[in-house]
Amino acid sequence: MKVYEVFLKKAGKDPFVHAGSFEASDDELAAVLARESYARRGEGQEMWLVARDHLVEVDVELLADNADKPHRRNDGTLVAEHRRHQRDP
Amino acid sequence: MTAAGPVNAVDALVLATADDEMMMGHNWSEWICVAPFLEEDLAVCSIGQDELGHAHALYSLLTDDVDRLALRRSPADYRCSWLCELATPEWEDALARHFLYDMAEELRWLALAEADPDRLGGLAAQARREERYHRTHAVSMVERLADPDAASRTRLVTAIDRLVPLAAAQFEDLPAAYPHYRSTVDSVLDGLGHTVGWPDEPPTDQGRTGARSGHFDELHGRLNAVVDLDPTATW
Repeated sequence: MKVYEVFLKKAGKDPFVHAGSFEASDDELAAVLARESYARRGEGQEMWLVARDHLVEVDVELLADNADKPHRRNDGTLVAEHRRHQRDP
Repeated sequence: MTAAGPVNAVDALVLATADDEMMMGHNWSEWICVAPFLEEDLAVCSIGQDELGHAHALYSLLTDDVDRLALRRSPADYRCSWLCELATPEWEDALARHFLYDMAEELRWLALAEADPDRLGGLAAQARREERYHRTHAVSMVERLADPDAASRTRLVTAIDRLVPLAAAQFEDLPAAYPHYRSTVDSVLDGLGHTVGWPDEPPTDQGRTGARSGHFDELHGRLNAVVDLDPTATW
């Protein structure tokens, strides 16, 4: 059995979103079984199945923050602090 | 529909199909949580749910009291095929029946739609959309598990061979569709290098006339187990 990752897309402009995973023996059977596990209740209008073997997994080290570069974090805290200071010195 | 049974040939076909669907729906419900793997468990219990829905829709054409018609008849008043009332504690039997039943069902729905397009055409169209998935599922599983290289092949083809006479008997009330049925089943099995021995004609008195197999009483008892606790209760 192989593991397949399921991506569903609702009607409209929403992108495909990861919905979960399941097991099947091959691609064709995966396509038969996927509906009952993930799309029986109209959860998506389109579905992609990707065999987990085919996913490219990125080294978590490459994703880690550079500790000395907080300005790359665009979470707004620096701007908020600056504006608060301007408003109420 | 009267107390004595269906009033015409179309109603008789509706009742027999409804009884088949009812028993198949129930049979699948008994596999919930015990099918061989999770994804298959979900697939067959939802197929069973579809079948119960079809049974309900067909019974509704015959009566206002669906529960009573579905559950409370005496055994000789049921018209399901013996194939559908067979106990299948082994997975290969359940799967062989799934394949042999759902290949037949398509032809029954076509016959129903043709017999009375006004009353049955819409329902048949909706059911056939769902049945297409049932067939795809059944054929997909048979193609894999009866593949010449599969360890499961012997078990599955032995089960199919054993059930073929019962499968043929489904067509006692629809003999015109029997040759087509044989050819559609054969076309799948040919691809797997397996040949089954069909009876020339559908065997008779294996369900459609009211004769019941030895499996019926236990199945009927399980269907009625809760109602029997208090038959007068309102649900």
